[in-house]
Amino acid sequence: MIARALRLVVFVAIIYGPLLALLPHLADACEVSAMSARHFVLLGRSVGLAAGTTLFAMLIGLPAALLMWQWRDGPLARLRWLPLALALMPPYVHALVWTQAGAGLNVQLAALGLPELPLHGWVASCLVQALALLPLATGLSLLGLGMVQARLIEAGRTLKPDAQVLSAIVLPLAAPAIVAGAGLVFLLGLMDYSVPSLLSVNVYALDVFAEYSASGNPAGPLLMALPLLALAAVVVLASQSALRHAASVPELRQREGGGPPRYPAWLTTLQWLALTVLALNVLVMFAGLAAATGSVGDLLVAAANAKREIGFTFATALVAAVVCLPLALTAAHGMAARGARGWAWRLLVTAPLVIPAPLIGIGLVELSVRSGGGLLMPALAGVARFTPFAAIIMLAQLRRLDPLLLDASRVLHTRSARTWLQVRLTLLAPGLLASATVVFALTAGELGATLVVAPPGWATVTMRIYNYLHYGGSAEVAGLCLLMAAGAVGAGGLAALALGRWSRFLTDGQGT
Amino acid sequence: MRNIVIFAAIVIALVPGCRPGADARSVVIYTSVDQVHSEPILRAFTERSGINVLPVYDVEAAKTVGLTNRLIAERDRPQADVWWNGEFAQTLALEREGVLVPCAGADKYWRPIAGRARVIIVNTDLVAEADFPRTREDLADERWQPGEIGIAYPLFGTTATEAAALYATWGPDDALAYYRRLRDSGARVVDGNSVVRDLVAAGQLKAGLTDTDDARGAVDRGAPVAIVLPDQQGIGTLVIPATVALVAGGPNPNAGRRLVDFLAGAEVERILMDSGFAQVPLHASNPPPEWLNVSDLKTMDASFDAIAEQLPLAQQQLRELFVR
Repeated sequence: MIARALRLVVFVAIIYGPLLALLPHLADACEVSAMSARHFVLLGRSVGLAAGTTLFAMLIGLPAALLMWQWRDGPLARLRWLPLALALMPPYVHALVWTQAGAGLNVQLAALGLPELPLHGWVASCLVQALALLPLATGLSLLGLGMVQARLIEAGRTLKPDAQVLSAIVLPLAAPAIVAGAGLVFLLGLMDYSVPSLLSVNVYALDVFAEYSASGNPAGPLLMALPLLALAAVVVLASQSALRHAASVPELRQREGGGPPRYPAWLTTLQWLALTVLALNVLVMFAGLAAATGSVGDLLVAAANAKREIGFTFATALVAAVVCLPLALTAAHGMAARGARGWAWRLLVTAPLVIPAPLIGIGLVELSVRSGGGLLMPALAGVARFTPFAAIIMLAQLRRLDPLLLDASRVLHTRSARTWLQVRLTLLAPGLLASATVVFALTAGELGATLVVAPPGWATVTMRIYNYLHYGGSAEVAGLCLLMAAGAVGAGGLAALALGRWSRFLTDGQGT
Repeated sequence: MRNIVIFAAIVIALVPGCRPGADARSVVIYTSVDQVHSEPILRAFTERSGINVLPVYDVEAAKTVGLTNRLIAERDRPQADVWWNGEFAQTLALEREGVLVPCAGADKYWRPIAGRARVIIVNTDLVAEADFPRTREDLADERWQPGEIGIAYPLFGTTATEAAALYATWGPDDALAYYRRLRDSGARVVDGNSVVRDLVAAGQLKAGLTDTDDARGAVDRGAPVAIVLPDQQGIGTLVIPATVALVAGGPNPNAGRRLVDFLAGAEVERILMDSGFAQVPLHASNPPPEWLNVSDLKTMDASFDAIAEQLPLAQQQLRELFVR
């Protein structure tokens, strides 16, 4: 009981510490403007935009994931995680590339006498934001599909056609995880103001920034974040509580028999259409950035000019990725619990996603003023912001642990530390690796909090990208974005390689 | 529990030992001047003085909630020695917050550096010279179709400063009425001045309000654009000087003063003008660019203090107007 309470206290102190440091400012809340009807209308529209974005991203991401989910072996199985590299790029860059591509397309459409595509406004914002979040939506859908027990599918296929197995077994069992993924995509869409403001759409997240900019007082944005916290609670209620009940066994031990599934023509067509959109997204982004970068020489120059930032980004992201793991594991155990405790943990884990990033930065500054800041502050900002993602991945991994293996290890080992290191850590390794990779990538791309806590003389690649965006240095920006994407592919590739080796290690019977 | 203990040990071991900044041969500067302009100048200072400069750069995307709020948050234990701002309103706000100390006389908390001007950028492929908008009021004219004119959100950066200047010059009611007309005419409100520039250069907007450094960059890249100094027959063009100031209680005050003196000098002003950041010189030894006739330039006569005073009201009212 005491150990549980201590875990909770440490988690809250580290993840919510920056926010708690700002609580004294709430005494100034009477000085900030109260929520008005305008705020609620804006919030409603922002929720609508985020919902539309999520719907569009999932409508493409899920069928594409269904197709790629069938690629179990060979190079295609590794390639299916490649689009996730795009999730590392700032959404703003997605918007820039797509508006440029759209403008070029409009020239062709105008020449043919056809109506032009909207390049700003709600529809454009919804589509571009959905394309920016599509890699994440696809990845989370893949994760959800991967949690379905192979033996259930095999049993179903002996009795019914593949389409019925899909609708009656696969999708219902994967639904909790997929809905949870959609919830995350929704919250990220709700908190992003960069794409909507570039495309002339006002959203609530921008108003939070405007409040902070006008008042310089954290109390205002803190109060304005409260409706977002309520929304996060609704998302948790609607999705993650169901995640706990997802049927799952260790994927590494699954070996599905039989040939590839045979779906009706319309479903296969839909899957390939979705995959085409996903591939087009990757292609447009890489081609657009490569064209803007110029030659390989220009890319190398951009890398050489930013070598200090690249080094600092790598170190910061690495520290965040390592530090978040014990916290994520603790949170995942809490989330897996039944009843009110589990629900409270799920809310605690999800809520940081809707806290405006500069508030986390300012909170960390307040803490550092008392305790001494330092080079680790950007990494701690990454931990405070992105541990929820790691925790959710760890929860999925926890659901895959085979309890029989743990029971067997307890019988054979007398010391719990040995059990933990040789059995539990071994079984958790894929989840730890995946969590670390995601946090590494997200921390490398973080801006809002990092900008506020970056130590003097140091900057991340993302800070440099935004600096050059303002100047109009498109070649330098494109080169740095390509480097970020290459870094993500590299990190993801290493993780996939390690997972593959781990899988063979376990299934060959050399592990536990 | 073991994992939490390991984590706590790592943090306790590393955090206090990594505090940079306090070193007699170094100086910490926070700056909102674009890195591409400020970095070579800071490097030149290091080469000349032997003092290592540790900069933190702001970015436009932070919507001015970045470094100024960081300076306020760090007020009790400052990390920065020098604040170098691309405009003046936030510097005056920091002065009011007690973040700065006098750096040029007993009551002068900041020193001006070469300025930029708020200008109208026009796409010359889409608008004939005879039809160029010449005043801010022209931008709200009904001859423009919705979506043909653009401004950045008047809540952040120099666009907010210009709004505050109009509040100070016209009075809050008339200024608010002007922005309401601009909104109702269908002016497109975009993410920043550089976006206005890019959209006008690409022909997606016919004209818009931006800063001279942004507009000049488009001209230098050969975009089909022209620069118009607004209201030369009326209230005048707003010139916004950059500012440099000394942070109260900074860890390296002596090095900070040397850097402030260096940045406020004529040589740095010339470098800033050559690099395209500034167009309106304050030092007589630096000639203005040929395309800008400074001697005939009519500037707005609202005082810096009056503009800074109007800024909170302007931001509050324009937020209600534009963010909905």
